Amino acid sequence: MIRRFCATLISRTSVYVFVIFMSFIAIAPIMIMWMASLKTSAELYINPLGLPRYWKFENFILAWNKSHLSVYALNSIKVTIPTLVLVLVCASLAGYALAIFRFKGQIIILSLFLLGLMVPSISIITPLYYTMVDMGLHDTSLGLILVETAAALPLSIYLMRSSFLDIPRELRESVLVDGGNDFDVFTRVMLPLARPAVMSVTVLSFLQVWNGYLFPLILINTNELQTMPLALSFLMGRYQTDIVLVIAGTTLISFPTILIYIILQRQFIEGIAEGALK
Amino acid sequence: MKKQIHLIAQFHNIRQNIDTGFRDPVSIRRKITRRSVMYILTFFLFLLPAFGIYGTFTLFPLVRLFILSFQDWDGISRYPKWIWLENYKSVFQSQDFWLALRHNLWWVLLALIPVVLGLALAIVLHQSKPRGRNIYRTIIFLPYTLAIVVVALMFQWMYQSKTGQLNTLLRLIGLESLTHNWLGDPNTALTSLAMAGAWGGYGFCMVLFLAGLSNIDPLLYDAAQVDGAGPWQKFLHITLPGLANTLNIVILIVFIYTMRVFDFVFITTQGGPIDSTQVLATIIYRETFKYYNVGYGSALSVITLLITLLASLIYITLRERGPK
Repeated sequence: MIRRFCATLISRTSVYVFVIFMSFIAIAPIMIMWMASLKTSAELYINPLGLPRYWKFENFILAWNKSHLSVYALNSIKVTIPTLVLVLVCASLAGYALAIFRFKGQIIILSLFLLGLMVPSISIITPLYYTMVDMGLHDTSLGLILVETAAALPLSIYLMRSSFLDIPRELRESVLVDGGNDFDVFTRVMLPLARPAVMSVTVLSFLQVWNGYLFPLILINTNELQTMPLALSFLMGRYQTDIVLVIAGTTLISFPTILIYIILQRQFIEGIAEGALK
Repeated sequence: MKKQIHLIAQFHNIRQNIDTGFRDPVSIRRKITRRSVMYILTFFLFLLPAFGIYGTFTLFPLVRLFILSFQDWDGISRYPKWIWLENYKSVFQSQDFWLALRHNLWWVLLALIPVVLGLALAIVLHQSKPRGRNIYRTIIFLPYTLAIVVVALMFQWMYQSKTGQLNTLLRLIGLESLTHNWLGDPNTALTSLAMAGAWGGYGFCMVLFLAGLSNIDPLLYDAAQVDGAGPWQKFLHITLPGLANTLNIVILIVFIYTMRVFDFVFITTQGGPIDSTQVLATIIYRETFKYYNVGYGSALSVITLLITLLASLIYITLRERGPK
C-alpha cells in the first residue's frame, strides 16, 4: 500500500517537474530579453542575467523614437490588414467553389492550388523578384500585399474547402429552391457556418504576414516602406554599440503578438493545429 | 451532311415546340446544357479572385523558375543565353551545394529533438492531467508565435561569448570550461542555430500531438485498464498506433520546414563563419541577389523544390486521409 502510494507520488512529481521545467525553458529567454531591455548598456555588460538594478523604462521610448519604429509599425499594419482581407475574401470564395461545384477537370484546378503548398517561397523568390520588377510592383506595398496573399492562399483555400465540405449540401439546394443564387448560399448559409475555419485562416495569415521576413527583404528596397521585422534586423546592424536599444525594440515588436496570443490563445492553438493537420 | 440535316430537323422541331408549347427531350437537353454552362460560369466567378492572384504571383513565377534555370542570365541583359542543363551540372559539381545539403540534413536530424520533446509533453499533459495544464500549454506554445527575427536576435545575444546569458549561466553554475563563442566557432554555430530553432518548435509539435491525442477514443484506455494493461503497454498499443498519422505528419512538416530554413541563418550568421552555417536557402539568396548568377540560383531553387516535393506529396496524402 505504502509502496504504491510512493510510486504514484514519484510519478506525479516527475510529471510536474518535467512540465514545469519545459515551461521554464520556453519562457526564460523571453524573460531574459524583457529584463535586458530595462537595463543600461553598462549594466547589461556586467550583469547580463539578473534583474535590472534600476528599471529604465525610457529605453522603450528611446528605441521607439530613435529608430522610427512607429513608421515601420504602421507599414506592417498597412500590409497586414489588406492582406488578411484579401486572403479571407479570395480563399472563402475559392474554397466554396472547390467544395460545392463538381465537374470533370475540377480536380486539376484543386491540384494547382495544392501545388502551392509544396512550393517553398525561397524557391520561387528569384523569378518572383524579376516578375515584380517587370510589372512595376517591386518596391511597393501593393506588390508585397499581393505576394503575401498569394503565399497564404493555398493553405487558406484548403482549410476553407474542407470546412465547406463538412456542411450538408442540402442547405444549398434549399436556398436554390427558394430562388436564391450561389452567392446567397455563400454569404447567408455557408460562411456563417464556417466561422472556425475563418478564424484559423485569420490566425495563420496574420502570423505569416506580421512575422514575415523573406518577402519584404527581397521585394521592398525603400527604407520608408519597410516592415517591422526587417527594420529590426537592420537596427541590429546600425546600433551595434547601443544594444539595449535594439533589445528594447525587439521587446516592443513582440508585444502585439504576445498580447493577441494571450487574448485569443484557444483560437491560436486550434487554428495552428488545424492548419497543419486537418 | 447527314448531321446537318439532323440539325435542321432539330431546329424545326424546336420551332414547333415553341409554337405548341410542347417540350420534347431535345429541348430539355438544351436547357440542361445552358444550366451547366451557368454552373461552370459561377464556379469560375467564385474562383477568379483567388486564381488571379495565385496565378500571377505563384504559378507564373513557378513556370518562369524552370525557364530561368535553363539560362545563363545576370538579371540585367536583354537576351539571356540558353544553356539548358549546364546550370544543373555546375550545381551538382559545386562543393557549396553538397555542403549546404549536409547542413540542412544535420539540422533535420537535430529538429527531431523538439519532436520527441513535444510528443512527451503532449502525452504527459493529456494523460496525467496535471493541474493547470492549459497554463502550461499556453506558456510552452508561446515561443512559436514570436517572429523568427525576434527569436534569432534573442539567441544571437544569448549566445555571445562575453556578455551572452548562456555563458554567464554556465559560469554561474561552475561550468566555466564549457563557455564558448557559440555562433563564432564553426564547429558549434550550426548546432547552436538548430537549438534556437528547436526552442521555437517544441511547443508547436506538442500542440499538434495534443490534437492527435484528442482523436483517440478514451474508451480504448478503459478497456485496456480492465484487461490489466500497464502504462507502458497502453502507450505501446493504444497511444502510439493512434498517433501514427500525426507523428508522420509532424516529421514531414519538420523536414519540409527545415529544408527551407532561411531567416534564422540570414539574420544571425549569414552562412558564416567560414560557410559553417550555409544552407540551401542562403546559397540561393547569395547566388541570385549578391552574385547575380540568376540561372544558377534558379537551378538550385528547382533542386530545393524537388527535394521537398516528395515529402510534401506524402504530407498532403496523409492529411487528406485524416486522423485514423
